[in-house]
Amino acid sequence: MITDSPTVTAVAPAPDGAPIPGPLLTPQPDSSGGGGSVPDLPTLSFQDDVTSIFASWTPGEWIGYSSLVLLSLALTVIALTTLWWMLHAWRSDGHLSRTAFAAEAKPAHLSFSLLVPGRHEEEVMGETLDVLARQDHPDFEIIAIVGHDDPGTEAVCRAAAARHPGLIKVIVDDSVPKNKPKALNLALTVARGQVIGVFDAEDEVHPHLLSLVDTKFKDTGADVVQGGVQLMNFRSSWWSLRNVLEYYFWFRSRLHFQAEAKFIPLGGNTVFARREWLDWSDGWDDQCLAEDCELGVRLSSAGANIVVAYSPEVATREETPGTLKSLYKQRTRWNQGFLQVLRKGEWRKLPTFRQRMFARYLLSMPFLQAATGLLIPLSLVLILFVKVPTPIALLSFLPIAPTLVTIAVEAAGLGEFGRVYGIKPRVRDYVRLVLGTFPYQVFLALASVRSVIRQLRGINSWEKTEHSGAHRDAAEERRQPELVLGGVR
Amino acid sequence: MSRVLERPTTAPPVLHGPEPIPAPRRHRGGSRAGRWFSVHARSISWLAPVLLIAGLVQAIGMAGSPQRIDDEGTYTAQAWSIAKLGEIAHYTYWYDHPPLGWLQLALYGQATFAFDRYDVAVIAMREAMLVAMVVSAALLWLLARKVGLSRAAASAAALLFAVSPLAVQFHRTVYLDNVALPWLLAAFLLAMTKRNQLAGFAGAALAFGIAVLSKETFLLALPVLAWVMWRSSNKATRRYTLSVAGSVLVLVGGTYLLLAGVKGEIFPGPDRVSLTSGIAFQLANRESSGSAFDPDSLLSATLGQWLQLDPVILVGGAVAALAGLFARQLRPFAVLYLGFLAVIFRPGGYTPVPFVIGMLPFAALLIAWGAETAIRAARRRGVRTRAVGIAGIAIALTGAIVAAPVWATQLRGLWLADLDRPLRDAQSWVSENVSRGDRVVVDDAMWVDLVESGFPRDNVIWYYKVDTDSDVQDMLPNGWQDFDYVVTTGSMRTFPDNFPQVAQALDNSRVVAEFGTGTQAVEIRKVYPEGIEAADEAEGFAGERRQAFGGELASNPRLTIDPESEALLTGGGVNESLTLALGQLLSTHELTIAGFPAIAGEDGVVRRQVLITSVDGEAVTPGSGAGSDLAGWFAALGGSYDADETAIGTDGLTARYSID
Repeated sequence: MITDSPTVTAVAPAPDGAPIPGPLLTPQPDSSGGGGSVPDLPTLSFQDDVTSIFASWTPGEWIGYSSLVLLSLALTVIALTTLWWMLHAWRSDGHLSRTAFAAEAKPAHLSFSLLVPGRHEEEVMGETLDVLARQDHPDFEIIAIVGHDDPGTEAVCRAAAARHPGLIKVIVDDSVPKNKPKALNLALTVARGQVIGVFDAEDEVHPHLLSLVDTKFKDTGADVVQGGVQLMNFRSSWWSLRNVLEYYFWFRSRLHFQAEAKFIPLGGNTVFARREWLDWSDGWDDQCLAEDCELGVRLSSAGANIVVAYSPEVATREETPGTLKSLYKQRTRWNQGFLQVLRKGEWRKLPTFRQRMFARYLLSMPFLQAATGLLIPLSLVLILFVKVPTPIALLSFLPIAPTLVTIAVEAAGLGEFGRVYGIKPRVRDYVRLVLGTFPYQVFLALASVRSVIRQLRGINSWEKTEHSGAHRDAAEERRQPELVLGGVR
Repeated sequence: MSRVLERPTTAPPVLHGPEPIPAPRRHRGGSRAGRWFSVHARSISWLAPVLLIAGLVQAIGMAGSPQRIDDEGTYTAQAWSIAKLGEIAHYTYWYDHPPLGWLQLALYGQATFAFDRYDVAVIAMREAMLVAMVVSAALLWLLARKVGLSRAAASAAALLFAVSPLAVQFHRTVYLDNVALPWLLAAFLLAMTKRNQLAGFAGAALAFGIAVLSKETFLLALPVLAWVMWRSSNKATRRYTLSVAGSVLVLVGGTYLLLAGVKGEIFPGPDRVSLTSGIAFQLANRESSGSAFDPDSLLSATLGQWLQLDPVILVGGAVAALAGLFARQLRPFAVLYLGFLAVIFRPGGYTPVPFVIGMLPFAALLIAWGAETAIRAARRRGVRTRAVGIAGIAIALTGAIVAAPVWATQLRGLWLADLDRPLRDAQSWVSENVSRGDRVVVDDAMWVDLVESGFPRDNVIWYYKVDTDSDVQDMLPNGWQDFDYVVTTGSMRTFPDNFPQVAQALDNSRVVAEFGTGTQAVEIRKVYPEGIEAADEAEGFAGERRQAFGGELASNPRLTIDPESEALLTGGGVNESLTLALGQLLSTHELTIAGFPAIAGEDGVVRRQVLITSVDGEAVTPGSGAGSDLAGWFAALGGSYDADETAIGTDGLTARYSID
């Protein structure tokens, strides 16, 4: 820019010993004229500033800041993937229409055996069996499994069997200790249907469900069909609202994503599998705390065609656990079950690397949640009490972004849930939804921490839930595999 | 279906084990890319030349026209501060605009080493503008296709958008609007996604958020964007797609709030900047641009500038927009364009000069659509339809006829004129002649370059900050009297009253160098802290002394000199120190002086450079004994006789003295 000036070119270069500028800030190459022509170049004032951005950090700050950044990024990735999968069904209208049952059932072509294990369920099981018996499918049988030490439930079941002769069988499980997979495996020995379905003792099942499931098998050539399950009582408490929404998004959307990814942790009920596959799998794994998930993983790994279908009107209806404590224990068991499945390693047989990575990620989720749970207080302390550089402070807020989008989506979901099931949510429910977000995350993190601890310490047992008389309390157990150690109870 | 019915119940899968899953088919990268190209070959063969032409039209002469303005310098300096200093602005960031625009510029500068590749920082950022324009043109092409234009019409839209002289002028200028525009166009494109609508809408919201955080005026497009989204949203998934889009947009906007929150600058406080006062400034304190019907108003000047560059595109856009209101696909864009026009003409409002940047793509889109629709209608059967079509074609042709000569003249100027030369020369002058310890008040257009040429940051003061930034005022305890030089440009001379300190400095200064003429003129003025009257008086005495010394020198028999230079000497037109040094030299040597060459920009002021061609009869050339002796003699001089610089060329030795 100064080439036309006659006087500057021949002038001395910068004096010896002048600081050599670093690559980041080379102001101007000497050849370009400008700065190089000036003798006694003063120290550029911005040199110090540049180096000071990083250099002034102490080792402690380095560690603190980088762990904060890593934590933020990890949390963000987890929240984003979870959000994206949660929204799977609504990615496009094609996605949505594929997730439903057929509108009209076709003529039946399969026979069904419906297994209903029950333990201390005398209050609800009779009605459950009556409702199941009203299925409009022409070819099915119901097998109720009760414990030899549970005469009350057995009596209720036998009464139901008498009301529906030829339809309901009652078999007695005398194994010790008892659990749900054992009961199911026992029933499998007497079941005659081409398709085996599982229900829990308190399930409210739509009478048209079997016909639709039959059609789904026919239309898709499925080996396994997972139907929808829906918790209903979102007004009971702040956490029941969250629990209900979890189910809604899981069955309405997320499971379809799992099906597409060909890796499905199956649910505990409203699941239908072809007999051949259950024979292949040797029934359910009675050592696992999440036998339903475990079966799903094995079937997925073996390449079974698992189809998920959800239509709100025929979803099986349930209630949330009666207390936060039982939800906590339930969640601990699920998490621990996931960790068991992770360790068992059946998922390594999944055909593609992508599926294996996905399985590993999904099954490790309790670990990840636990880790983030432990780091939440750390990052809070850092943000509140340590003066953090602005970019890092901004970055630490990053995980909040997907979380807030998730809340918006959940609010939309609550609205839709209300419309679909005819219970209009009130403003109060939305407020609960928003305010409950953080406590529920903490709650989930705590359950994860606990499950990891239990898993690491090798506590593999069913933990006793107070069962004395409180029926609502018992509801929670019914949903779950019961690995009861005789001594504990 | 039949396969399912013939389900092999007799041969359960157990026997075969699970069915083997075929290994995922691997596409070689080449073949996949090849397929993509073959599918899109026609589009590429249209789009690629369009982008090439668009890029060339903008790139040729981009460093010369238009002259750099203050705003460009400001955004450049802010980007440079992020890239080189790790600070969000070169002065205290005061929430005048969200910083995302220049953050992107900084990223561009760092990723491409643009700041290092150019002598003039603003031109480096003009390169970023070029990239942004090409991206915008491509997106506009896609958008045009999306709303149903043919490839030819889409190309016409992109070309109009890129080569209208109005567009070239504003696309070259480093405005945040140019950074925001690709994001806005991307937002509209994504808002019309059909497949993967959820991701598309989330992307649209993100892109729009970035657009608004790059240039806040783009928020005006929000209602139309929401409308486009609603129209294209699938009913069954709308609840979720729109929730996600809405929350993403709020979040992106929230980051700005968060930035202020983290810095503790949301609300105003004593002696600190804040988000609220920044917004209040933009919304309330901006002076009205006046009425379009008042020929002296700012708005009239702005509109005049726009129309002078291209009288057709904006008017044509308006005509096409009125027609576009009746076409379903185009309606939102017609409404958007007319809405922009309404914003400009709203009474009492402030219209920023670059506002037109947001309008150009939609004007181009509407015009191209209008022309294509007219041509199609003219080919149809119905008498009425044909009449309408022919009328449309007539309007388009009229526009083209009006535009052609203006475009030719203006584009020629934009390609060939080096309007920026005065600024470059002035910068060179400052970096060569002003001591790094002096305080220089400048237009931001040269701020980065001067700092990079070695001035301490505190000594290069953006004139705007002198009267508005308390940190800067703290450095200037004596106000304008602490300045040594002021470099004035067109934008600085426009509003002298807004900056009292700068105005006072100018009143008490004298031009020492001047480059260019008219609005492009750049003056370097030396400031006299003692006041212009005292300076004038001192100059009177100094002039008398120069005449006296010059006269003596001219009469020295040892000096050989041409008459013209002699006249300069006797007339007091040569620097006093230089005259005295020459006198000293003549006491021991004979000299031949070829003249007192004026330094670039210093015509009409006292000469302070001498060209000596021989000493004692020996020619002064590079490598000659006389040359090195003479250079050594100048170097040995001390005090105020010390030459600023000496240099030996083929025609002799040049010694330059600093301004008295």
